[in-house]
Order: sequence, then C-alpha cells, then structure tokens
Amino acid sequence: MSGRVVGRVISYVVLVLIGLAGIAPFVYLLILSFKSRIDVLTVPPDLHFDWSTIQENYRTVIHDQHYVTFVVNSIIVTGVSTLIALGLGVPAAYAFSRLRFRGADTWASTILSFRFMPPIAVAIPIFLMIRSLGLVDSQFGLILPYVAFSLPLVIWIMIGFFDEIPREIDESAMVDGLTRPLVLLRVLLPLARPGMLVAATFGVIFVWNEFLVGLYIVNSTDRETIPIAASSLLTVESPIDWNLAATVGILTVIPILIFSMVVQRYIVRGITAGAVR
Amino acid sequence: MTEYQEGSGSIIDELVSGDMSREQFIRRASLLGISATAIGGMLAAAGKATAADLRVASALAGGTVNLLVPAEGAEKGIQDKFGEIKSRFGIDVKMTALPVGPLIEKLAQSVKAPTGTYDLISVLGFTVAAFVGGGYFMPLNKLVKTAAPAGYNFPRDFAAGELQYTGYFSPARGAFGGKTLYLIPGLYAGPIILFYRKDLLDKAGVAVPKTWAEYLDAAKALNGNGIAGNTMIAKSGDVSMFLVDWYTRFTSQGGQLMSGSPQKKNFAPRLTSPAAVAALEHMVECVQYSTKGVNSYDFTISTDAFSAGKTAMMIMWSTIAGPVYNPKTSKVADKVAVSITPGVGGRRGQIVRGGWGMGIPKNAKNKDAAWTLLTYLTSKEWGIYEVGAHQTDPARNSVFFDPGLNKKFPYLKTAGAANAKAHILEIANIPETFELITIAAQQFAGALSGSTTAAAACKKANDEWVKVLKRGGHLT
Amino acid sequence: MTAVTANAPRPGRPARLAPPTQGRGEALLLLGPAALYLIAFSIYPLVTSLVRSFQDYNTTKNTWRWIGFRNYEDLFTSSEFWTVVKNTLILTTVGVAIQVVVGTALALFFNQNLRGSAIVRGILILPMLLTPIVVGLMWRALLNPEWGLLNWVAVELGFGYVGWLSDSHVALWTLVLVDSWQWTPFVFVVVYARLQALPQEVFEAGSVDGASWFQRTRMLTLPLLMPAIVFAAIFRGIDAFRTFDLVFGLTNGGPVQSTSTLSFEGFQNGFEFQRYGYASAVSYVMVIAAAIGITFLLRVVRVRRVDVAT
Repeated sequence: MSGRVVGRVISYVVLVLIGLAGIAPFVYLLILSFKSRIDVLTVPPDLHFDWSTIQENYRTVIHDQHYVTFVVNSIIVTGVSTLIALGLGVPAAYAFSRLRFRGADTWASTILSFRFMPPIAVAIPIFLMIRSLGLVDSQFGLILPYVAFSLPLVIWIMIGFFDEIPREIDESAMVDGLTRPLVLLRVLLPLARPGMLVAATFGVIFVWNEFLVGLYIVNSTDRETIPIAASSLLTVESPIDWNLAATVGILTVIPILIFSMVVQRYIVRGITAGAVR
Repeated sequence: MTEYQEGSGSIIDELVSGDMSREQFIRRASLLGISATAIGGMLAAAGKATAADLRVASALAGGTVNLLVPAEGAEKGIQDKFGEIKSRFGIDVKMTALPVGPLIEKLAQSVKAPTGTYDLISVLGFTVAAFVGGGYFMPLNKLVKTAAPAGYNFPRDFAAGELQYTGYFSPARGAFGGKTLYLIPGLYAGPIILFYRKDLLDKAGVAVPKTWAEYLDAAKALNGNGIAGNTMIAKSGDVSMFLVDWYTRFTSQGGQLMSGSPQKKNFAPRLTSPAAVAALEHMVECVQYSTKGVNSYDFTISTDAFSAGKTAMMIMWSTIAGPVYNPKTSKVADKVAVSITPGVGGRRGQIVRGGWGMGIPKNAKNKDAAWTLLTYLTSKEWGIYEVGAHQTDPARNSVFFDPGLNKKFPYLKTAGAANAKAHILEIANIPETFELITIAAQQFAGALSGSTTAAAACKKANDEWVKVLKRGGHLT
Repeated sequence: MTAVTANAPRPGRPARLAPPTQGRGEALLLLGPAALYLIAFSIYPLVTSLVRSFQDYNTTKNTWRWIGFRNYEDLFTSSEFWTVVKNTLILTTVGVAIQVVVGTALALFFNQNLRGSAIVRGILILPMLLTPIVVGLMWRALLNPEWGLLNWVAVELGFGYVGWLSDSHVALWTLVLVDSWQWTPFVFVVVYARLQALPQEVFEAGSVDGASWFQRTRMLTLPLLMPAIVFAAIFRGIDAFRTFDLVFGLTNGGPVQSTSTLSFEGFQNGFEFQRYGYASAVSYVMVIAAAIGITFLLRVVRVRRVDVAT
C-alpha cells in the first residue's frame, strides 16, 4: 500500500517540522548566548563557538547580575504563595463541592472570574495596600498578592477533583461521627492528592511569570524575582547587550524546562479537569 | 547639622553639647549602623566642637543610602565604587537601577509617601517640573555653599544651561532657573552629536555637513553599495525620535515650539509652523537614504546598525559613543568620527537639553549621608573614573574637556561643546511632557512610513497637543 | 478521564446527614479564609479602580479630582480608541481562531502516535510556560530588522525583506504569529487530552461502517471534541483580550498604534504618563468586557457538562 507509506513519510516530516518550529527560537537564543556582543551583529550567526566567550557571558549574568538571587527569590515567593493558596483553596473547594447553599454556583463563577482581571486594573491598588501594610520591598509583600492570583484557579481545579470523589465516602465517614472539616482532613485529602498537585502546578505557572505587580512592590535588586529582573533588560534607553540578554533568557528557561518535564502529566490532567467541569 | 536635620535630633549634637556620654554615644551610633571608623571620626571631631568639624563628623556619619538611578551605564561605575564609598565615607550604598519608565514610577511613589524609600534620586530633566516643582525635593543652596568637599568647583564647572535645567528651579513660578538649587547635574548630561564614518566620507569626497541641506546631500552621496547614507530613530512613539532627530533639525534652524506660557494659560503649540513641517519633511527625505527597517528603529537598533558598519551617518545621544568607539562592541571602532550637528549659522550644534540631576527628597531618611554621596557622584573625580571605565556621558566641563580622557576618547570634547549649546525643551516645564512627546512621535511616524504627508502629520500632532494642553489647564 | 458521576444521592440512602445549621457553620469555616482573602485582594482593588476611573490625578500636587464620566468620554471619543479596540479584537478573534484550528489539527495529528511524538509533545508545551519577557526578547531578536534570522531566511528563500515590526500593515499580524507560537500548544494540550480520553469503541464503530477518515473525523470525533475545543477557545479568547506583554516587549504599540491593545493603552497612560484616572477607566472597560466574556464561558462550560455525561 504505497499510499500508506507516503502518508507515513509525510507524517514524519510534518512531525519534525513541528518540532523544529517549536524549538527553533530557543536554539537561536542559545546560540546568541554563546556569542560576544559584536558577533551578534552578524547574520546568519556563524556556528564557531568560543568556550571563553560562553564562560564570560554566563559568568557575567550569574555572578555580576545576581542571577542566583533572582532564582532563589522566584522559588521562595512562588513556592510559599502556592502552598498558602492550597491551604486556603482546598477547604473552600471542598465546601463548594459538598455543601449546597444558595448561590454556590454564582460564587464559584465569581471566584473564577477574578482570574481574568487585567493586571493593570489591580496593580496600583494592590501596591498601595501593600505599602500601607509596610510590606513594600519584602518577599512577604509579593507573596500576599500572589496568593490572591492563584487562589481562584486552585479553587476551580479542586472543585473538579472533589466532584469526582463519590459523596458516599464522605457520608460513611460522617456516619462514623466525623465533622466535615475532619472528613476533609483525614479522609479526602489523601484521595485528592493528585488534584492538589495539578492545582499547585498551575498556581506555580501563573505566579512564576508575574511581573507587573511585582515591579511596583519590589525596589531593591536583591528582592527581585526573575521576571522583574528580566524586564530591566528590555530597556530602550541604552544599547541592549543582546548576548547577555540571551544568556539571561536561557537561564530563565532552564528552571521552567526542568519543571515542565517533571509535571508534564499533571498539566494534561489539570486542563482536562477544568474542561470537563 | 541643623541645616538639614530639620528638627529631628542628632546624636552628634547631643554628644557635642554634653547631653550624652561617650559610651552612650558609641552604643547609639552602633545601633544606627554607623561603622567603627566613622564613629572614631565623629568622636574625634566632636572633641573640637567647632562648626567645621561637626560637618566633617556628619559627613563621616555614614549609614545606609538608598540610591535610585537610571540603568543607562553609570550604575556599573557606582557599583565598582561601593567598596571605596564604604571605606572613605562609611556609607552603605543600596542602589536600584531601572529603565526610565519604571524609574519615574518608583520616584513618584517614593517622594509622595510619608517616608521615602530612597534618600538620593536621579531626576530626569523632563520630570523636574513634576517632581521638583511639586515641592518634593529639598533646597541645596546652603549645603553646596557650606558642606561641599574641597575642589567641588560649583557652579563654574557646569554649563550654564545645565544648571538652569537640572539645577535651579522655581516651584512658585513653575519655571526653570531662579535662585533655589534643588539638583546638582549628574550622572549624565545627554548631549546629541553627529556620528559619521570618516573612511566613507573621505572615499566619496564628501565634507562633514554643516547645514541640513548638506546633510541630505551627503546622505544621498553616501548611499549605496550596501551602505545606508544615514539612519534615524523612526519608531513610532519613540521619545528619542522626537528629541534626537526632529527637534535637532527644528531648533537648529530657529524653530519656536510654543507660544505663550502655562502661567498665562495661553501655552499653544506651533507644530504647524513652517519650521516644524520643514524639519519633518527633511526627515522624510532622509528616510529614502536609510536602511529598509528604519521604521522600527529605536535607539538600540539604530546604534547596532551603525556599529555593524551599515550606516554612514547617524545623529544620536553622545552616550553611545563609548560602545561605538569600542572595538569589542563595534566593527567600525577605528573608522568613526564625530562632529556637532548641522544647523543655521550660530545655531549649528544646537540640540535639545537632556540630562539628569541628583537631588535629596524631603522625606529621605538619611539626608546627611545622601548629601555626602551626592557630592561624590557629582564630583570631577568620579566623573573621570566613570568615563574612563564605562564611557558614559559626564556632566562636568572639566571632565568633558579633560586632556587625558580626550586622548582615549576623542569624542568627548565634541559632546562637551554640544552640551554647552543645548536648548531646554519648551514643554519640559509641564507634567504632560512625555505624553506630548509620545503623541508627536506617533504622528510623525505616519509621515516617515509614508502613510501621510508631513504637513498632515504635523497638523494631527498639533491638534492632539491642543487637546492635552487644554486638559492640563495650560491653554484655555 | 471518564465523565463525572452525578451528584444525586443513590436510592435507599438518606439524602442528608448533617443538620442544616451545622452545614452553615462548616461552610463558614471552610470558605471563610479564602473568601476574606479574595475580597481583600480582588474586590478592594476593583472597587478602588472603579472610583479612580471617575477622577483625575494631578501628579505634581498628588491630588485626585472628581470629574465624573469625563475619562470615559475622552476614551470613547479619542481617535485611537477604535483602532485600539480593533487591534484587540483582531488578536482575540482571528488570533484565537488560528490557534484553535491549528491546535485541533495538531491534536488530531498526534493521535496517530508516531514514534518520537512524545518528545515533540514535550517541546510543544514549552512556549506557553515561558516568561512573556523572554518570549518578547526571543522574537525581538528573530525579527530584528538588522540582523534578525527571520529576515535572512525570508531573503534566502526569495520572499524578500519583510518589515515584521516596522510596517504598520504587518506588525499586528506579526503579533498574531508570535501569540500563536506561544499559545497554540495550549489548545493542543486541551484537545489532545480530551481526544485521549474518548473511548476507543467510538472510533471502531465508525470504521466498521466503512467511513473514511475525513468522514469519521467530521461526524464523530469533532462533535465529541467540541466541549474541549470550545473551552480552549474561550479560555484563550479572554487571555488574548488582555494581551500586554507581547506589545510591551515587541512593538510598544507602534508603528503608529497599529499594535496597541486596550491593556497596553491602560499601561501607557497609567505607568508612563501618570494619568491614573484615565488608565483606571480603560481598565474598567476591559473588566466589564471580561465579565461578559466569563459569564458566557461559564454558561457554555456548564451546558457541556450534560453532553459530557453521555
């Protein structure tokens, strides 16, 4: 069946092309990060690499520009805010899933809709709130609003997962005398663990890349997270050091790369849960 | 001390007056984070208890200074000197360097809060009216007279125009100049000069253009064989397009941007005047002898194109001279030369006045140390270091014309000459400066990309300016 | 993942076990903290923004002045407003349409389970995880008018120089291209997951009847995929509506505002011009539009809940 074979070959070619289209920009950025400032101006980039240039670029970014500080800040801020969001959101989602009360659905919808507010609409009021709390330029000042950003999605995803757990489990536990909060804690939490991982993953994705609110709240360099630090590279007032900017870009991508390889499965599950609800 | 402590008690005062014992002083001073060297200095100075020594002691008072500067290159020089600043003055510098947009935001938030985030701030000339005029900065007259280090040479070492722009201001009249000093010019002066490839001009037998007609002819003659005769910043909405390319042509031919004044509420734009339209038309013609992508050129891409050897002439902020003359970042480092920009007669070289000034906000927490740091960063000593190490623009004449520096960086004296001739932008004294410049740059881009005529673009920009001026209450 | 089980209690069991009042108390305990948090951080800023949108901010005097609807009037009568709205709508409708079509096609393509497709799938997920600043940087380099790779490729392939970001007719479509590069994977993942979850019997039934691949896809697969496709489309639509990072990173609104979006206008007026009142008004117009979009989204998603159970 030569038609079949031709079809197969075409399919593989298409597959490779798709892969290339997806990865080409990264490869280009990687190449740029290996070049010295003046070689950036040559096109097409010649593939002759100088190990010392590469070292120089990466050393400048990691060492001189405190890259490690930014990664640490990002990890702390993202991690803590996601944990808090889980702590607040899981019980709330449980309540929405199990308890019937008037307007439950409307409340759930309103909660999700907060996620879609344009950041510029809330950036300054949030900044003013944080400032009046005296938390400007602190990690906690970032964590507080970030919890609010991931909370709606955490709740929404967890509602979906709780809905999947049959109510009978709750009910038999309550027959045994447990109150609802305890049911949640002892019985359901272990069952909902995959869901929590999914919710945590999405929480991390959205907070890790947040930049506008952070820009207002953070003042000093050692409190900056990766997106905030990266934004000062896109200055229009002085020539951009493209090779260094590319290096920063690559270094930013690495944690995300690791993260995405680890959580690939959860991303698929999470979106499905949302779609099915 | 009382000059700038403004009511809040100073422990040095108490030590001197005997209200505090030596031990108490040491304990309190260490709690304040003052270094041992500084404490020693203060004790020694307090022993003499004369006004001069009190000043020395306060200069050694040290502590932390929160510094806000633009991320345009000089922050590297400041960072280099952190250690030295600490050992000489006992000051811990916590520096925040940001691009212009976020910097203005941070500045705004800091000076309007009850206590300031920053003790020492670099203020862009265009924002002087908004922030100095708003009364957020403290006067520096007394300090510069009584507490300036030896050899500071204020005001003579600064161009008169610089002092008018990023120095003296009159909040009552909302005007530049006057008797009260709020800022000291630094870290950058920001003049504009003409960069050209002397090898290409020599080969084509073209002389360095002195008038705008000569410039256009030169661009025509030099264009071809893969080289663009000239480039410009033609990106829509780009502030530099207005200031560097349009305003230079406009003001060097005697153009008057506005009539009336904000105080009289008859501040009207003259973008439809013949000089304004002619300036834009000249740019439109120059575009024909530019590279293909010029319509998305901003400051950085334009410079890159020149450094890559694709352009014969370029008018640009002198701050890029460093990278362009540096063989590590420029392929034409040994072929580039500079001159002042073209113009009519004595106006040749006249450009917009740019630059920044350093000032201390009224709500700063550590004004003593802020002043010490200010005098250091605006000193000739630091200026010479910074230009030598990082080739950013200086602010002082003695640095611009320093013979040693000029041997290495021959463009400096040209930049210094341009700096002397700069003309303050007529709309710099109202808060809507950036908005107006952006609007004009957006409209002008239409003419540069060929979608409308220069006259129509100027008319549209003029109409939009009238709207904004009326909204701001400067025009009725 | 199979369809959700109904929440209706099974016959033979009591409908409720806890008395209503205890339920209310528990609801408060479970929901309370989260609700308070959201009220503080979401509702408060939104109310403040609304109030601010009726005021004018004087940056020199640091004062606010009540001006009623004037910000909104200025907004709706400004010459750029309708251009900006048009740009935003193009990104939202045309852009998302492209992403949905390509994403669905990719999902169907990957359903063949070719060898090595797991790796390519992994690559595809990357773009949507990236920090928008880095995406902007990457594409600025690729599209650079002087040394960008894309123009070199275009010239080599004979297309000639393209003014990706400098031509006012092309710039917006360049943004659509970059946006699609980044977010088509999202549509792909959503639809693909749903596709994987469809029971095999459905396809086998179809092929037994002798239908061709196209017929099977059109009649069977696509209708079954509809809930996922619609969900992805609306989710993407609302995010595309808020596009800011791309504009900020790549074009700054130009050339001549051909790429300015509502979000960017709000940012430029607030952040750069310090016209906070006006910026709040722009944001509010967006908030209301987003609210309408969300109501629509949720209604559609819940309607689909019934379909899914079949």
